[in-house]
Amino acid sequence: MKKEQKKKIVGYIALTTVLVILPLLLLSGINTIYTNITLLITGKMQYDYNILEINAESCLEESVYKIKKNRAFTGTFTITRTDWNCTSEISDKPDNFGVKIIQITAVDQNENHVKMTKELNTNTDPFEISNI
Amino acid sequence: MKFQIFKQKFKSEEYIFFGVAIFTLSVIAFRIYSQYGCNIKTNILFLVLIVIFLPLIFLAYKDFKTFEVDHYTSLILLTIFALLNIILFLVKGNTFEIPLTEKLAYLPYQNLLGGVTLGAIFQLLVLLTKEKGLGQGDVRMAIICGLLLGFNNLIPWLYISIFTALGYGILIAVKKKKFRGTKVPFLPFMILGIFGTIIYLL
Repeated sequence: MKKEQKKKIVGYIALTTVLVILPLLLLSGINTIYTNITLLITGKMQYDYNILEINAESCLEESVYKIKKNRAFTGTFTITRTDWNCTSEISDKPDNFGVKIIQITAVDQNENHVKMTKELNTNTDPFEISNI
Repeated sequence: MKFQIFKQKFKSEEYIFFGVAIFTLSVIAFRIYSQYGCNIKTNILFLVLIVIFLPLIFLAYKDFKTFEVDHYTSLILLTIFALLNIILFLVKGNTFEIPLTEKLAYLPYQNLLGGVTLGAIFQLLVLLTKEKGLGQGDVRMAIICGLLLGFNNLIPWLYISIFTALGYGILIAVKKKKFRGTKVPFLPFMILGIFGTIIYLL
């Protein structure tokens, strides 16, 4: 009989304990949700920025294409799409004949900005492009 | 002697208990077979889940009736799960996993972490309340839950367990017209938490 009683292990929770655990549980849940939402937002922002960078590269390709067609080309042009647009400003580099400065600014609907400035040497074949 | 509790006449509470158990097992079967079809892998998975769930249902029922955790059944379950996870962890390393379904995988490292975390928290509660707020048997069961579900699934498990226990506790308290000192058998709700989490993960 004594042996039987020794093996008894109680398995209950007091309602008070449940009520004490509950706010802690809710707090941890809210914290988890908040952390995940923050992660989701930063992930989305990073994704949008990467996409915009790719679009800015398209804009750069378009600028080089325009220069290839007309080596004397200078000026500004804009590419507008539904969720992003980019402006490319092409100018001659002072004192360097045949070297162009391309400034590209791409903006998307979430107000992400990508700016890039490149130097294009048209004296060589193929053209040489470099960062400034 | 252990099965003496089954020889008593069923009350409405028991019917609800077994109704919920059969319903959740049916939902698990439905979730498995409707998503993954009937093949050897799903049959084995379902069989393994049934083999695990039957002693858990027995433990839950005993706790529900007597506010006691069956010593031998819980000890055997604890030993089996602990040994399985420790051996797999030591042999295969901490990145080893057995994919069961698309969302559910058996990760020994996560399971051990879950068991240790839950065990530590529950033991702390037992020590703080001097076994008046939480029973020692619940600690053992919490370790089993942690070993079964893994660290990553503890939050949904805890939510299901605590909220269902709260609902039942409030019902009992209203019925008895006494909130202070009302005790709720926690094991059935812990096991309901396991069922719920597995249904969610399947």
